[in-house]
Amino acid sequence: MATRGTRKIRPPRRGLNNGEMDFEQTWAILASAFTQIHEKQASKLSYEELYRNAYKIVLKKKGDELYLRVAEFERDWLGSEIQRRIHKELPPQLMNALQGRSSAGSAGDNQVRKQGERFLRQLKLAWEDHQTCMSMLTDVLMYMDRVYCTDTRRPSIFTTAMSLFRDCILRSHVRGDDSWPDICGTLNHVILDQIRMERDGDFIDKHLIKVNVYMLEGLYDSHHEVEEEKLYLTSFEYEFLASSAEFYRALGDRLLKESDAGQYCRETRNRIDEENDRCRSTLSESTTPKIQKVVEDELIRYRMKDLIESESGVRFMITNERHDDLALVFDLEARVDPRKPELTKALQKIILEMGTNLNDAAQVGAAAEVPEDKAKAPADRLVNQQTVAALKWVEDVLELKDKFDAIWKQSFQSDQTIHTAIMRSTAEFINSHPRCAEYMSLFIDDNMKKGIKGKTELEIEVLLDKAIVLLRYVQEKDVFELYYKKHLGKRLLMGRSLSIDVEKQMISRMKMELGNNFTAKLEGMFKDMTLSEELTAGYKGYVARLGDADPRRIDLAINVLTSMTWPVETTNSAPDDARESRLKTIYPPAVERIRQGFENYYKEKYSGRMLDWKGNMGTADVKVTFPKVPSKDGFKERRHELNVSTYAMLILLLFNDLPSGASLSLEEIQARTNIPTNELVRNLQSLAVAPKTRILLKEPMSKDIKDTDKFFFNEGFMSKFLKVKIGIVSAGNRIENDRERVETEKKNNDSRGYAIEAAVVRIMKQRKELSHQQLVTETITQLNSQFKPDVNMIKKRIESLIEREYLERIEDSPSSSYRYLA
Amino acid sequence: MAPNYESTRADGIATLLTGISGLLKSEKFTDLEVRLGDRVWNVHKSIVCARSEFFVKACNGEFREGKEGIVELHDDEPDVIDKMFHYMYNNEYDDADTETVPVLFNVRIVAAAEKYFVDHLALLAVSKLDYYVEDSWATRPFADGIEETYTTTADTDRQLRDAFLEVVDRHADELFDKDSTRYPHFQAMAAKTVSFSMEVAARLAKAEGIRRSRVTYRCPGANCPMVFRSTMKEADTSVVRKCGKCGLDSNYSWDKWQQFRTIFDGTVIETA
Repeated sequence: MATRGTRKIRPPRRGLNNGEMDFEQTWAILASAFTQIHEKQASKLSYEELYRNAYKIVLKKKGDELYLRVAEFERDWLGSEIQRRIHKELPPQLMNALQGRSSAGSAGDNQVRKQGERFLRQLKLAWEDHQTCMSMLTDVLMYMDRVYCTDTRRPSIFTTAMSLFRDCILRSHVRGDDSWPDICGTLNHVILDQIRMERDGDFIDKHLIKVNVYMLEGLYDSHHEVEEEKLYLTSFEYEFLASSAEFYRALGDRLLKESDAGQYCRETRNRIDEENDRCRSTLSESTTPKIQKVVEDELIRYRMKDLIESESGVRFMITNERHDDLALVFDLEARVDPRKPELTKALQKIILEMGTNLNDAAQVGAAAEVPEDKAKAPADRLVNQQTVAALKWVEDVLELKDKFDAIWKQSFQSDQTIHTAIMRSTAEFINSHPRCAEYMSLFIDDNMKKGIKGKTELEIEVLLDKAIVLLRYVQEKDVFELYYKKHLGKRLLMGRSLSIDVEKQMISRMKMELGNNFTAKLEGMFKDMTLSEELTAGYKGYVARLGDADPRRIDLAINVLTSMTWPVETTNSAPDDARESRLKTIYPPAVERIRQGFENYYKEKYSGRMLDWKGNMGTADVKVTFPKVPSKDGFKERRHELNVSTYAMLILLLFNDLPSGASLSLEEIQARTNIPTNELVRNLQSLAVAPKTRILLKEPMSKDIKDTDKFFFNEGFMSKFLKVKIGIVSAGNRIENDRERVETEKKNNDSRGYAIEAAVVRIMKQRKELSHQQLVTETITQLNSQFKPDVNMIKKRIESLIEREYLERIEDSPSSSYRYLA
Repeated sequence: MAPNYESTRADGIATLLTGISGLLKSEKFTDLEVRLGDRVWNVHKSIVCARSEFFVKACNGEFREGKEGIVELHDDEPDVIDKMFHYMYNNEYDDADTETVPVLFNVRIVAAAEKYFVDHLALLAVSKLDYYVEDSWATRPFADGIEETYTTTADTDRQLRDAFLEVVDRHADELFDKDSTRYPHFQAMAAKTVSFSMEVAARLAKAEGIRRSRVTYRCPGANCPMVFRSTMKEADTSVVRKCGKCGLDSNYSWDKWQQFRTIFDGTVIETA
């Protein structure tokens, strides 16, 4: 420390801290330099000198005065020189043209355009100069900004100078005339005018506009530099959006009138792209979402309905397979609403209409009702026609569905909302067809019997898929089950299925789709068939072991059907036959013996089971020898093998014991066989009326069968074939006639009743007490996968359950409620 | 063995810094001439612009300096500018080999750092100054340092001002002695540098407030152990207090309260 004391001590430097500083003098140096800077003569100026002078002023605590002087300097400069240069570019002609657009002829238009561009160029120049000068001044005044402005929380001199540009230039009025918009408003007009020209297909100087927009983006409405107060937003953007809305509204009107919907969509998409490009290249990207919304509102949101419903709209596109146009419509509406309400609505309407047309067509195809008990042949033909119409309906539905599936994939990007809408409408029209379940089952039946012939595995796969897809739409699954059981039963018993394998595949698909419950009985049917084969074989072995090898024995093939599984009744009889059907069919001794034999064999295997023989469902091969008649091979007997129903066999056997030429009346036949009347009539029709299989002769010879008719064995029967199949009238699966349907419905209603009761009891057992409303709702929910229960039916079932004391009403409950009685 | 990342990196940085330091002395590749009176420094724009905003603006090109590559300084002390450049290349400077005593010299470094926007240099100068300031309180450079601080640096620079004020606090009774012949330089400076004197006065007033708030009194009640803190002033004629312990209401003038004054032992229970 001591050494330091020896050092020379310098006095404070008088030149800087104590020396007097004349503000006016110093400022004069700065002001003259600033003028040179604004006049672009700065290259001779020394930065250090200017900086030092400004620094000194601030150090001498005169920062405040300096700041004000600089601002004043800028105000003067902008307010006189720059303002004059800009106002000069706004001749009255241009101002008039910008205000009332009326006078704009194309020549005038071009001049206005040129004047507008000159104005833009001048403004751009002024702005760029101002920026350059102010950044130089800011450099010179750096110490003032850092020390004085920070300390006193004033905006930087640059910021202040920018507001001055706004106030002195943009907010000034040409020739001081307030009746014109200020420069800022004029700028808006000029830019909007240019954009209008570009929208009409002209080329414009995008860069020139961009620079001016950039200026508006750099300036604020007030000295708080907050984002929302950018001049671009407060002054320009609003007007731009408003004028754009007007433009696109008019364009929308014109396009709807003049173009087809496809063109409209393409134009709209182009316009949106164009506006996006414009924001990027000419305006500000911050406007992109807003102008997009304007275009979307004007060209899409407010127009979508008209567009879709127009003559060349969605219906036209669907009919004419304009998939690209549909994709455009989808794309457009998806922009404005992810739910695409108009397109969805239109699609649903169209599907419903097309579907209803199919339904109506099927109705016409099946128009003529089957007259009961009229001449059978034409009636059958009618039934067949109806069956064909039913099959056609299903195929048409499939085609319709495929069509919309294709559109959905190709045009609608597999959109989920649209998918749901298509599904819903398809389900709606399918279920509005009262016989859809029956038709679907018939469709599968037809394919199982004929359709899959010669098809590859893959094709069959596709077919099964289609069937399942359709099934998904059917609401009344229980009705479908009923029909399917009936149809399947016939296929199995009569061996009409082309492939049991495919049948089983179908069942396993249904199982996946609808669950175990649905297919349990159907599977039971297959099991019975397998078991029956084993039984037949087993019985054969059993007979052989008995050693009673009678060559004249009748061979027996048997199908044992579980009564609850098989739809036996429907194939059996109508209600009026109930009494008759209780009578036991009388079998001739030869047949009766075998029947007994099998029954014994069966009871040995399964004791306690009842066998009920269904003569109407079996067939028999009967060898018949007809008396000798002359033929080209000589005089010889003719043998034919007749394939007949079990009942027909019984009838024919009666004639075995009859002397030649003797006859039996209908009543006699019935008395000796106990065959139910309607079955008997049907079988006699096949044997005695059908021309090619006339084994019996009838007297009188007519188509109708009457009680008093007499029947003879036709000794002169002729056929080219050794084997003759005598079909029972309407043995195949076909559409039901009215009477059958009434019965099916009744049956179905019964089973629904049980299902409802079961559901109600299940729910109540768990909940103990429940209001009526809740109970109904829950019941419907539980049964929804099977069918849509009728509320009245539920009420009746509840009543019935109360009567049988499963439930009781809760007294004094505000809403009607029930209690479960254990 | 793989080279150690950290030490390799540190070595690299050291090499870079050594290289930069060497540049100033060797005057190689210089592209900017700085003049002050008859002194000349040949420096590198890349270095000085990296450290000083002033040189960035000066070299920008719009003004004469940018075109000619010459910056002419005025009003500065050559030694200070020399140390400033030294700092720019070395992050350090030596205040022991200057003609001006360190207390004053470092103040001038701070002023230059602020004027030319040399980041971090002002802080370094204040920390150097701190080392000399206590021992020099009675000297003339101390008074001069204060004067220059208040006239050539920004009011916002608290570190520099506080360095001096803390020393002044400790020696205020002597420095402001009634006998004006004892520290004539200091007192002349204080009379002239009003902003400095104002700050000294403000600090003294604040210290007095803190001192008074530390005064404690005991409860006037007989045998009551209660002690409380009060900021009562001599001018107060009636100070009311209700004891939270014995419940006694007392109302005395400041004068009378003085007989209950106790020495604060950290067991204050109440504040009134």
